[in-house]
Amino acid sequence: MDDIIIQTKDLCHLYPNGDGELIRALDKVSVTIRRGEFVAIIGTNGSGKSTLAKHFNALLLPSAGQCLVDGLPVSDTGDMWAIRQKVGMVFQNPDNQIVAAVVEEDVAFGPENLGVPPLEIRRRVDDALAAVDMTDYRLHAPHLLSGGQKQRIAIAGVLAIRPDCLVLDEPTAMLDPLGREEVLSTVSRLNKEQGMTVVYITHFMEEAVFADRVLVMDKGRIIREGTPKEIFSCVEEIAALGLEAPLAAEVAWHLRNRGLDLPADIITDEELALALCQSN
Amino acid sequence: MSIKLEAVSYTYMPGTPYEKRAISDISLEIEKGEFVAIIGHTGSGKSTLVQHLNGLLHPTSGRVLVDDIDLAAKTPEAKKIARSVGMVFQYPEHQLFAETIYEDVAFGPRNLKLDEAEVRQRVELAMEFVGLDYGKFAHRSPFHLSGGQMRRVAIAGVIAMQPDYLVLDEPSAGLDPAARNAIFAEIVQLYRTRGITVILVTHNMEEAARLADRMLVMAKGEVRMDGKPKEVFRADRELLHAAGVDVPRMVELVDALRLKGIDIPEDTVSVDSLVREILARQRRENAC
Repeated sequence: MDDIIIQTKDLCHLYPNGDGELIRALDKVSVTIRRGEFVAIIGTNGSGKSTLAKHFNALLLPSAGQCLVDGLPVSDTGDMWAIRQKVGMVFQNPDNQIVAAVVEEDVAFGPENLGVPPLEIRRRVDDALAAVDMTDYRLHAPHLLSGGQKQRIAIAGVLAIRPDCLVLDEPTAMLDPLGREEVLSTVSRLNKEQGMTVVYITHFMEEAVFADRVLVMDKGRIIREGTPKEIFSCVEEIAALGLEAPLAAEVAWHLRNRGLDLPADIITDEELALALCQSN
Repeated sequence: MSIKLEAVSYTYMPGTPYEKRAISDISLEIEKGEFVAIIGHTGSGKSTLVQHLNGLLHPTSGRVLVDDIDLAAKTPEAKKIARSVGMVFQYPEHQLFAETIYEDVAFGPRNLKLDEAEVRQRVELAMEFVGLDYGKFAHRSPFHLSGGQMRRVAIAGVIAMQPDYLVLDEPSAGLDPAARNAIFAEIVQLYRTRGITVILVTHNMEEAARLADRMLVMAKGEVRMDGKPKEVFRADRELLHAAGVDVPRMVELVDALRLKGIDIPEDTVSVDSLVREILARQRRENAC
């Protein structure tokens, strides 16, 4: 049990829509997230990705079933603060997550609220800013930073709480290509170098390729689960869900269909180039 | 009939310590019926530029003419012509405010002092255009919709003004591929059937390459490149990189393949043509 950080069992979440009908946003979802994993969740808008993620730190509570964080049920409100310290969330819009007028004060906000002693706060803020490579900006005004920098500050603010797991809900959706690259490489470095558990929700399939494991959601259920190679080589299935496989996977799939002998698990440009060289 | 910029520069907060020149000396003309994509890094001046196109900002120096009327002129004509340029901002769903979708979309047309029958007709048309069923959605709250649907309501609000020029700032940001494709399909349909001019600000190079006839690349407040998407993406990779612009995924893939000595034409842009090229090449090699 010890290596499991988050586990849901038949997790359901229902809410009423505008017409008073009950919408089943999550339908018996059972997932296990292990410590140190990088898990990507993909799916169309309305598939339940964010609803699921919001159970991971008790922002939403199960209508039925269970969600355990480090063995604690989120539905037990007495444990809510302990759970929120274990699982930190980063959302889409960096502007909505910034509270202070100076970068380091913003990062200090979390530990200050937890009553962490001042010297310890200092250390945590320094560590967190170093981890997202923003130390040089510690005295800057956050609202004047670029989107990618703001998002890294938001991540630092979560790291300063010293969580066991980082949940990011489309953290790059509002960023330009450069900002996207900054955020993804920061998260991926935190996972590889510090062993931070990462749950990463995205619409960019090329980002999901970096994960150890991909969960595919549709209509409130997890319908597929596997390595990026296993998931994205099923080009037709991904397309049928309204998602897009990485370009190299799509081209490889067309080529295989036209009789070319290529491995079934090509998902990157380099793999495709290599396979084509070898097939001669 | 065109939008014409003559040596337009804009400086934020002039005469203060925060003074910042956002765009410098931009001259260009966008003809009626064009589909223009504007791309560039955050802070390159894209949004400042498009806010000049309907007079939200007036140039610090230079002029903006819409159908030959100077937007900065304080005349009724200038006011009227500014309305022919519809603007869909980033995350337009944040601007929804009314209790029902009908009321939200009707807000603009009512400000034009149209009678209610005409307003209703425009709302119906606009909702149909963005793929929202009038009977089902008109009297629902816009706040209980999905992200993609909310954005459609916001776009319908602009379309109901029946603009001749439509400016969209990152219309697909934050949407999943299905919603993204649906919104772009609607924009293309609007472009084709109404013959309106579309000016699209985007980070999505695939969409820019696929949809636009013309592409402007901005960096540091200047228009650095202006041409057909194919020319722009192939012309000067270093300039594009310096402008912080990603080339389309297809261009990257073709580059990666060519780097490994797989000989396919540099200007391959679609999956179909790439697949055909690779197969043809494979047959040639096998024949030797």
